[in-house]
Amino acid sequence: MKSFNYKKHNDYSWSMIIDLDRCNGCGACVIGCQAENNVATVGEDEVGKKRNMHWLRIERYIEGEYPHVKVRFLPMMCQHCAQAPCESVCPVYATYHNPEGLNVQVYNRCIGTRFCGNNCPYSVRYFNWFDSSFPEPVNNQLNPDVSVRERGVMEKCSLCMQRIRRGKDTAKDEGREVQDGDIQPACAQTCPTGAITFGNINDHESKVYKMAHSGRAISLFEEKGTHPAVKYLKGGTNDVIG
Amino acid sequence: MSLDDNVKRSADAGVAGGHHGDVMALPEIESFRDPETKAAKAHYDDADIYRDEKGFNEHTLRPMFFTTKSYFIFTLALGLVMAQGLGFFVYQTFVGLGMAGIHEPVYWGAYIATFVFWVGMSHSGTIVSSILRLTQANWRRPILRAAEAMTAFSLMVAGLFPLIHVGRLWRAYYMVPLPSQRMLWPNFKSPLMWDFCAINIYLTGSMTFLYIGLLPDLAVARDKAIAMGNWRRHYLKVLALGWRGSHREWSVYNKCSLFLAVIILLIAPSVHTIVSWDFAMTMTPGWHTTIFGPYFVVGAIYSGIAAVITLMITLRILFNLDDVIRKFHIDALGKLLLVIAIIWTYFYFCEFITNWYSHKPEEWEVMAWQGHRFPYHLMVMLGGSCLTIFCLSWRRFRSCMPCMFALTLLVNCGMYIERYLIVVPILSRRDNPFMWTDYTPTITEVGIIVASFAYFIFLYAIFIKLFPIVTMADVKEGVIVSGDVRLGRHAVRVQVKE
Amino acid sequence: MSDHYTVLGLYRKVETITKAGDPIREAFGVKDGDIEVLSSAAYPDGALLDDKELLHQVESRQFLFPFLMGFVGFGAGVILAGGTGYIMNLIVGGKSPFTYAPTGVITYEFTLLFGVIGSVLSLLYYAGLPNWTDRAYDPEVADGALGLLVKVYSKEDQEKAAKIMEDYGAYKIKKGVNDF
Repeated sequence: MKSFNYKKHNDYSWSMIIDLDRCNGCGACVIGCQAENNVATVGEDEVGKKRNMHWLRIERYIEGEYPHVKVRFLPMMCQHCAQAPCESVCPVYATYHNPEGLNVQVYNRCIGTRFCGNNCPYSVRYFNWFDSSFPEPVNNQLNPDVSVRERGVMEKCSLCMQRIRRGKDTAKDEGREVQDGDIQPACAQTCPTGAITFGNINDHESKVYKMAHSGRAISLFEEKGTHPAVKYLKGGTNDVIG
Repeated sequence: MSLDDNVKRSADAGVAGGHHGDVMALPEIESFRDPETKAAKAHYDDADIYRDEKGFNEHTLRPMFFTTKSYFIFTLALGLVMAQGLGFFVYQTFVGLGMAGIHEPVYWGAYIATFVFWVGMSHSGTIVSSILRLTQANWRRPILRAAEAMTAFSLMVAGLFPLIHVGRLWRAYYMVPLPSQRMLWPNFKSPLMWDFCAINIYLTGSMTFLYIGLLPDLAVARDKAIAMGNWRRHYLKVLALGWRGSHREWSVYNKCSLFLAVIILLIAPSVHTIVSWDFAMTMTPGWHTTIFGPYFVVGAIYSGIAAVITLMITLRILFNLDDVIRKFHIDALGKLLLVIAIIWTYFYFCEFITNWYSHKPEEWEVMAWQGHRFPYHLMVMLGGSCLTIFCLSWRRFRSCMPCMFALTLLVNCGMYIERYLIVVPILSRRDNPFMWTDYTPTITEVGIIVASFAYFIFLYAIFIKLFPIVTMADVKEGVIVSGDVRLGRHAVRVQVKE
Repeated sequence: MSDHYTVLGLYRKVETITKAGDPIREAFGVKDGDIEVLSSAAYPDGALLDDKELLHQVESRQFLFPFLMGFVGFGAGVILAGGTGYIMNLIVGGKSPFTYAPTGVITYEFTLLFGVIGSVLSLLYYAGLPNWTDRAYDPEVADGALGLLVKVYSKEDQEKAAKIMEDYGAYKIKKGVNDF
């Protein structure tokens, strides 16, 4: 696997590994993500128009003909590409690559040209079509660490930036490096089967490094040359996506 | 025939002096003329009106100074159409872009298709005008202004669409490189930024081109307005910059026009190339192709020339300019359109056959999606290529005003649909099959787009009432530098070229 | 040179005005820049008046305006697209801070923009525009009359010049002060 410039010069390079064999498509991660990141609920009509905002979605693929049908699930979120197509097309630098290998979205800079969304092969960038509403009891569960986005800006998975910050701060206070398990994005925390693993791929002792080099790891749309930081461990028998 | 002789001859024919008929009598030549030589006839038809310069001035300035009641009714109607579009736009701005039909993978919809269409329309005027100026095509003279104005106005309309389309209109100024405390700087690596620069620079350039071309005619209009005591004298005085028509002014002016023509000719293709790069620079299958640059430029010139013809015929009928804008001009423009139509068809075919033959799954999916919309394609095929090429091949068709009017409208309908087919289906069938959806424009989008057409016509209608619409100075120059030569039984009009 | 006087003679025909130019120049030894022809359309250089030399000088310099401004625009484009990108280094899409192709595109556009501005400046500078003061002019020029305008430095010369113009077929004479 080719590593890109930022990874060499920085201590951390965040990565996420998703084991497709373990995913059973329960959708708990979607809810975890939504609760953690103040993702707006748009209502039935808008979801029908494909305007749902889920930063993480479960893509369901059905293989074969009845009665020999197999259903496969693919959790899809921002792949945090090293050579992200979305970044260079933004006219106002609303999205750029941070030194820790994350593709970050700056909501306050975004003017909503949606060019990034058009250039994302994974279609994982979401646009705020209307002002998000959090009616009475729901507003109490908003996460104070994450801003609520205005209408007209793009948003997407940040790999739980706020949790990464907190994990780094704690580690710094304790005078050590971030270790495996210090940081858990909401989806990884919620996943009942433990399909999602997060960590620092620069640390050769870390779980993610080992999984990424296990031989089962693949990147989505590898032929696009985007070099994602999110990797998938392909299933043993049915290779749906690789 | 030396230059001086020629100047004298044509001047003696009474053009420059305003009194005519004493040296070279045109009717005499008419009797010599072989009625069979149609080309010669066309040129003669051209010359008749320009013999009396004062009359010519009054005739061509009439649309500017005299306004009928129906004009006001028409403008009011346009205003109403614009008002509904504005209403939709304001509502969309305050409520959110969800009012438009665009959604998750189809982030660009009818707004961007219309933007491309209007930018395309803008390629008629200045590009045609500067090519014809540089090649010194004599027939160009009366139509230059109308074509250049079209460029400026369609760009003004086109420039609105990115603003209508962005999510946070009130933050759109982030794209302007303003050094400030915000510590924000635009990303010049983004094709949108190139687009932003190119459109603004093209707008500046074509406005300048329009204004510089207008300068001598503004002086004529100023003199008329002062003589008539018309209210237009106030702004005409300022805008004419105190132009007197001294030989030094003319000489410097001609040189400046030449510079501008060359520069505009360099800017215009780059602008539509950059617009095409908004698409081609992405890695989206169907958009990511090298053919888009030239394909868009040719398509732009194509729809532009068609629009010029539509506009010429409209002006000719509405303002009684049929002795200035002649059948001969429409015929010549029709030939130009024919050439561009053939080139465009070639590109269309190239784009199609490479996708069809390689049959790459992601590109094929786009084509299949388009294939289901066969009526659209039929429209593009008919309007864009087959019917147009067939019809324009006949001189009789080219000089038939209603036919040309209908055909050029059809061409632009076809070209609009072609832009739509470039933007929408490709986004509907992206790399990720889980996200495949269809798209239909909503009433908000339709309302705003219709209003944009009304806005264009409105700008034009206002322009006609404020500025001279015929390129008077160029027409007069054309008469000065041309003369008649007898060739046996034929009379041939010749023109001095520098 | 405090005051100057002008005479504007209007002619109807190209032939007559071409004959009137030289006698006036000989009579007063008028310099190239002090005699002008007003017309409603562009005549080829030297067709109405023998001022080719002066205009040639102007023309040979006029191209410098768009040319030099083009260089300025080139610099502006490089600094704007390449320079600022390099200084304010923000990595996007794995691309280097200074990129040749986008800088080239922006530079091309800016070169041409400044070229346009330079062309307009050349027109304004060499044609002496804008000048909204009341200058020697007659609205009949717009309707096709040709005006011969000369600048002299005394009242007597003004009378003499008017006489010569009349002799050579001017149908209308206008005299003025300080309004060349």
